[in-house]
Amino acid sequence: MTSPDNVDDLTKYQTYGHPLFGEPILNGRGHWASTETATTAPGHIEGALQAATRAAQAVVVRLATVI
Amino acid sequence: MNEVSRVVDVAVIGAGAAGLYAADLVRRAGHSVVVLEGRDRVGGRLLSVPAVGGTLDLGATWFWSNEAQVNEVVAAEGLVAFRQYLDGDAMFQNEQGAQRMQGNQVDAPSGRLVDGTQSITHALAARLGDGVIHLEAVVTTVSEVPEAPEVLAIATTCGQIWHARQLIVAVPPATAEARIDFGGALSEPVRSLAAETPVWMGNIVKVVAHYARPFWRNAGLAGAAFSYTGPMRELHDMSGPHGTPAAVFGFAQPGAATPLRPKPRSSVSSPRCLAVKQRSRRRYTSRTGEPNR
Repeated sequence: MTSPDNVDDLTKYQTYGHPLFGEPILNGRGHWASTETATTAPGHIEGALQAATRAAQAVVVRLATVI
Repeated sequence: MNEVSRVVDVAVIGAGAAGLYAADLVRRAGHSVVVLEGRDRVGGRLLSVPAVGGTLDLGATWFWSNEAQVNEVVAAEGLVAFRQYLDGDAMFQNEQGAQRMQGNQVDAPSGRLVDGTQSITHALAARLGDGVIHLEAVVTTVSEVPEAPEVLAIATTCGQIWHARQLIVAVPPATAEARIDFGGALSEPVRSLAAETPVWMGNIVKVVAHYARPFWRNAGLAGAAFSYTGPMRELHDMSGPHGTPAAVFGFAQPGAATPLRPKPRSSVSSPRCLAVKQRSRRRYTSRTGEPNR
C-alpha cells in the first residue's frame, strides 16, 4: 500500500491549495500547514513555508481574540 | 497512569519545513509552542546525508529564485547556495535506445544548497531552542477536553498528553486523516478533501547514484535525461558545487526502483553507491507506510 493509493492520484493535484485548507478545522482550534495546502508553490519547500505562515498568522489572531 | 499532561499555547504536528517554520513564527509572536514529530529526526521530506566531499539530498533538491520565503530563510541563516548544473547536452531514451540531444531542455535554472536542503530545517529547529521539538512523538489522537473546553488534547505514543489552545497540522492532510484519530471532529467535506489530496512525492521513488567524479561533464553532457522506457523517467545532475560530490538523481515509480542495482558497464562508470528513497513506504509521510527514519 502506498500513498497515494494509485498512479492516477499522481496527477490529481487539483486539490492542492484548496480554499478549505485555508479555513480552520476542529471548531477554530486547528489549522493546516503542509506544502499540499499552500496556494503558492504547493509541493515545494516554498509551499511549506507559505502554508506555515498562513497557519501561524491564523493561530496568532485566534490567540489574541479567543478566550 | 504514566500520562503527563502539559499545557501549551500551540501544538504543531510535524517537524518538517512547514511545522518548524510555523512554530518559529508562533514563538516570535510570544506564544509557547511544542512540535511533535513522529520520526527520530527533523526535516520531513528534507533529508540530506553526508557523502565523500559534501552532502547529498535524498529528499527535496531544489528551490527557485522567485520563491521569496525560501530565499529569505537561506539568506537569514547564511546557508550557502549554488546553481543547478545546466551545461551540456541532455539525453533522451526510447525503445530505439538512448540519443544525445542538442542542449539541455530537461533542466530549468534552480538553486541548490551546499549543505543540502535539510540544512533549512536544521536551522529552523535551532531557532526554536531546547525542549520545543519532541522526536519519536507520534500523535495518535486529537480530542476535546470536557472539563477544559478552551483546549484540545493531543496524545502521543510517548505517553504524553498535550493541552493546546491551538493546533497546527503540518503533516500532509491525507496522512493526518488516516493516522490521527480526531474522534469524528474532522468533519465533511474537509475530511474527504484531506483523504483525497495526494502526498507530494508520496508515490515517487528518488534514486541517487553517487559517482567518484562527474564523468558526464567531461563528455559535454548535462547529466540530464528523460526516458520513455524507464525505470526512471527523468534524470538530473545532483552534484555538489564544482562537481563534488558527483551524483545523478532520478525519479521512478515505486516497484520499478526496488530491484535497482548498480550495473557496471564498460562504457559507464559504476556509482560508488546507490541510494533509493521510497517515500511511499515512509510511515510518517504516507498513510500506510512502514516505520522508518
